[in-house]
Amino acid sequence: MTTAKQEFLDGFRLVLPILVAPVSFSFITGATSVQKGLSALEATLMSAGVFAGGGQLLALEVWHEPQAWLLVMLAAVSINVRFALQAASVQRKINHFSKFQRWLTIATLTDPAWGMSEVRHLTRQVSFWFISGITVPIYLIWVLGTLAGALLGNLVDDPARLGLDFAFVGIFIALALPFWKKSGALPVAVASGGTAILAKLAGFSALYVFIGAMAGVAVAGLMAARRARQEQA
Amino acid sequence: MMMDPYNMTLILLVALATFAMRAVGAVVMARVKLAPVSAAAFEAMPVAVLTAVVAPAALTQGLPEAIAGATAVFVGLRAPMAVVIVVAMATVVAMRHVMG
Repeated sequence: MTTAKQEFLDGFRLVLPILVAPVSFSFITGATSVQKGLSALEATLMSAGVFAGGGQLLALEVWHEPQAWLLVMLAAVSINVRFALQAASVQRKINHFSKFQRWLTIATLTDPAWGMSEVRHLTRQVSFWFISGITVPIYLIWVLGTLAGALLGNLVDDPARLGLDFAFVGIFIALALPFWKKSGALPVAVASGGTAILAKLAGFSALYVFIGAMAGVAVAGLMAARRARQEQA
Repeated sequence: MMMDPYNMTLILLVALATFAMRAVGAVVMARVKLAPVSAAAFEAMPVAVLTAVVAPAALTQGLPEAIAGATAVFVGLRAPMAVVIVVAMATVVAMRHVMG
C-alpha cells in the first residue's frame, strides 16, 4: 500500500466513529435552511461554500432581520473566530505542504481536522493525505446531508410540531459541552449566558448573541489580567 | 430549484466571513504572539459565543424549552451529538404537548 493511501486511511479510521455528528447536523442545517426560505439548491451551495455548521445555523437565525447582510457576517465571525486560533496552530504543522495543499487544508478546516492533526503531530509529521482522510468524508456528508435535509424539510409544513425549531438548541448544547467542562469556563459562561438573556429580553432581537459573547470575553480578559497581576506580586 | 439574489448574496457573505476567519489565523495569527490577556480573551470566544446562543434559546421561551434544554445538557454529558439532537427535539415536543 502506498504511503498516501495509508495516511488517508489513518485519518479516515479516526474520523469514522464521529461521522454520525455531521450526518445529523447537516440534515438539520438543510431542513432549517429551507424553513428560512432558501431553495434546496441554495442550501446545498451554502453548505459547500461555507462548510461550518454553527455559523450557518446562527446566520439563518437572523436571515430576515433588518440589515441582515451585517448580522449574518457577525454571526459567522463570532461562531467561526475559533477557526482563526485553530488555523494558526495547524499552519505551523503543515509548512511542508505545497501551497495549494496548504490553502485547501486551511479553507476546509474543521474542529475534527484541527483536533486530530494536533494529536497526530505529537507522534509524527501531519500529511496532506492524513487530513484529507478526515476532511473528505465530513465534506461529502456535509453537502449531501444538507441536500437531503433540505428536500425532506420541504415536506414538513409545521416544523415546531416535530421539534425541528429546537434541534438548533440541541446542536449548540452538544457543541458547547466540551467547552463548559474546561476549568475556568464557568464565570465566562455565566457572564455571556446571563448577559445574552438580559439583552434578548431587553429587545436586542438579533444582537443579543454578540452582546452576551462580548460580556463573556470581557470576563475572561479580566480574569487573565488579575492572574497576571497576582503572578507579578 | 432556484437561486434568489438576496439569498445568494447572504450566502456569499457568510462564506467570505468564514473563510476570512480561517485565513486570518493561518496568515496573521500564526506569526504574531498574543499578549496573555488578549490570548485569554480569544480562547474564551467559543464558550462565550456558544453560551450566548444556548442560554437565551433554552431559558427565555418557556418551561417546555427550559426542560428540554436541561435534559439535552444532561444527556450530552455522555451521549454524542446525534443523540442530543433527537433528545432535545423529542423532549420539547413531549413537554409542549403535556403543558399545552
